[in-house]
Amino acid sequence: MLENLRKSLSSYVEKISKKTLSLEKTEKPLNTLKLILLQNDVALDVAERVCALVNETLENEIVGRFKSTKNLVNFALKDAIFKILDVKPIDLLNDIEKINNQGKPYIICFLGVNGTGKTTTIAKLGTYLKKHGLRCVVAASDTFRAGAIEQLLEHMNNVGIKVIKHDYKSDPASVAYDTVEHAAAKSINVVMIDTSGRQVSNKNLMNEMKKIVRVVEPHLVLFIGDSLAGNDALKQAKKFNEEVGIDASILTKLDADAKGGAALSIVFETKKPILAIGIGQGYDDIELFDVNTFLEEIFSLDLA
Amino acid sequence: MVLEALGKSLDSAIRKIRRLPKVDKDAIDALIQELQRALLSSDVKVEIVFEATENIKKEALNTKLSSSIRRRDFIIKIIHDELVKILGGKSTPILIKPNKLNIILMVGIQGSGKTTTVGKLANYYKSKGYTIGVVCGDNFRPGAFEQLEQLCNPINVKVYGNPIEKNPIKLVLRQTKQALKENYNIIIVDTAGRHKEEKELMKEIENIEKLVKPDEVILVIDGTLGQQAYNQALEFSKATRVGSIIVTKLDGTAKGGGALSAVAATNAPIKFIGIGEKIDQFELFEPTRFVGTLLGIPDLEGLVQKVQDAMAEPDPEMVKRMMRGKFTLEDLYIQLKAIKKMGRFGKLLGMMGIGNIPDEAKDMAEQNLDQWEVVLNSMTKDEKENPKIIKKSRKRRIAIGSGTSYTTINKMLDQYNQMKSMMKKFMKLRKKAKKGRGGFPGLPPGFEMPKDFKF
Repeated sequence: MLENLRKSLSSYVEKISKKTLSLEKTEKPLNTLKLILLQNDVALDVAERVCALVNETLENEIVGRFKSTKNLVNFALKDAIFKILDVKPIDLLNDIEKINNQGKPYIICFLGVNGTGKTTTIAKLGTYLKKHGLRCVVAASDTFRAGAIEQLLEHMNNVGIKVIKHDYKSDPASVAYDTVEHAAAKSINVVMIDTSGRQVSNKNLMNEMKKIVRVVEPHLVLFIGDSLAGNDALKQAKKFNEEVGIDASILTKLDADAKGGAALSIVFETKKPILAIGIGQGYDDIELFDVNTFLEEIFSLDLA
Repeated sequence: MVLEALGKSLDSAIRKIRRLPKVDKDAIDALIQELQRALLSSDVKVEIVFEATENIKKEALNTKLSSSIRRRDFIIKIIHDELVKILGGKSTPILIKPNKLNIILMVGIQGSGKTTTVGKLANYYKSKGYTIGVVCGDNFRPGAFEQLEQLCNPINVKVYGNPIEKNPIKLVLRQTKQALKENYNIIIVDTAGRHKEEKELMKEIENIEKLVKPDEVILVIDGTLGQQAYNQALEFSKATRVGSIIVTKLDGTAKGGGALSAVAATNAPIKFIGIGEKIDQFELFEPTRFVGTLLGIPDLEGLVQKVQDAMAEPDPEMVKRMMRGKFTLEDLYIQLKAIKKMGRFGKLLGMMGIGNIPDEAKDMAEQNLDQWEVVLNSMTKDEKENPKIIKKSRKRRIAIGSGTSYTTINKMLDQYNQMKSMMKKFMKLRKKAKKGRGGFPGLPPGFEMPKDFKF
């Protein structure tokens, strides 16, 4: 999935390495780097931050320490991206076990703007958890959007997970609360709360989201981001993190030739890890995200 | 936060350049850089950003300007025009052929908001008096049919669908055939979301278009879409004849730059924008406002208008007529319209030597413009040219014709007479001033028309 970002970055390293590096000459190649990052869906702020970090490393290092400028540039770039992605990862199965051992269900709350794939992602994550022998229940807390409850019911019927629902227009927080009660009574391992898509600029809906989180106190608040979104992915993640607080993100639609730059933007902004990525319309099309693999995929170049 | 500051920094760069006494290359370069940042952070495709800003730079430096327009004012208009050009110019609503069936096919990526938009579109055209049927061609996403029904039932639009039909092409054809029986003006066909890497699904939409033969294919573009908008839109326009674009989710924090890339890729103009989750949160597309959002300049419309006003010369014929003291009802109406827009009438009066527009004229323009139009449409040419002839019976006729009252017509004619006498008074004073007596406020002492003065 990160083929493109990798290709453009490695050809960039090739290109810059052929020139002798001097501080005056770094401006132009850094500009090129910025454009490559932008073209690969990295938000402008983050692209500029990466360039600044690369520049810092280049300024502080002497080419001699590395065998070649290529290695130096490669190192600087990898270092910069690593600095951004270096956040504490989440060990989901382990965390679930810990909470379950206290005799409580593990509660996951899904949030995001409209149409990023929250419901589909719940079906996928549910499939993943079931495979690991965990019993799940889902709260139909999207009581607003037309067809949302039917959509969730059909998905969960397909993957064999029970849904707790009220009627449309009922209070999403109370649906979530009932679901948690249900899970506690039946010793269910994981509660997943599906919420309506909302724009972060809508105060009322943000307050509704805060209320859901206040009422059920989830162990994991997951931001679902569309990897096709550009700079707005960063704004969404930032606002949800500020107003509601998120613990990790899942990026969707990475099979749609998205370049993966959104991952960088979102982690940069929230300082919270990417838990998983969605890579297709099937229930198994989800992959846990691993920073090292991500970096390796980007830099599958021969490193010094 | 830098992102929010970004729009502001372009805004202030533009304001700064407008304050400079002289605009040179350095100032333009600095402005172009801010502009690039604003466009990039609004998700416009990198290549388009550089092409557009290069054009803007060239035009800003090279265009010869008449002395009355200052280059610094002109720049904002160049930026605006270049971006509006990419957007395909002024938008027109989707052409619906009356008394004939119009089929609209909706296409787009998963989660763009196609189904919500179908509801909004149906609601929009229903309120325009068309009869509408909606076909659900999405048998892949769970709940798609129920969603359409829940959107369309409250506005009394029938939805044709069959959630258990497996084959989407058969589904669309059969359900459209059902809908055809009802002689609707418009049939809107919703389809499942797909993206360019799903080659089979792209082939499928190509086949659906071939079989359904829609009059219009609408590509729904998510307003948050980033750099990939161009390539995605391009593939949709290769598979189908995309004729229009609708941009969704513009009520959020997204600036919609991806939509601009989509227009560039498909050559299809944006027709509507979605600005909320409710069925009526749907607007005709306004390029100037959209570009303003994109650049982070909320009052771009006002700024562009100012420049346009500065560039527009008053109608010389009218100035001549007014200088001769001829002032018809038609003239008054044109002036009122101009006052409402501001600027032009002021300039015209300025040319004649009056500094400010009288307040009563402004009030009149604000309040009665629509009424004036109706009333004037109910008058004969003679009446408009020579209002003196409007007596009792004519007033009564005009009142009935315009749906107003006798007293309204009286009041409006009074207003006209006031304006006319004000003009006359002014003309007299102006003549005096010409003779060199001076002293009239608003005119410099000893004011004289230059010999080569032309309108």
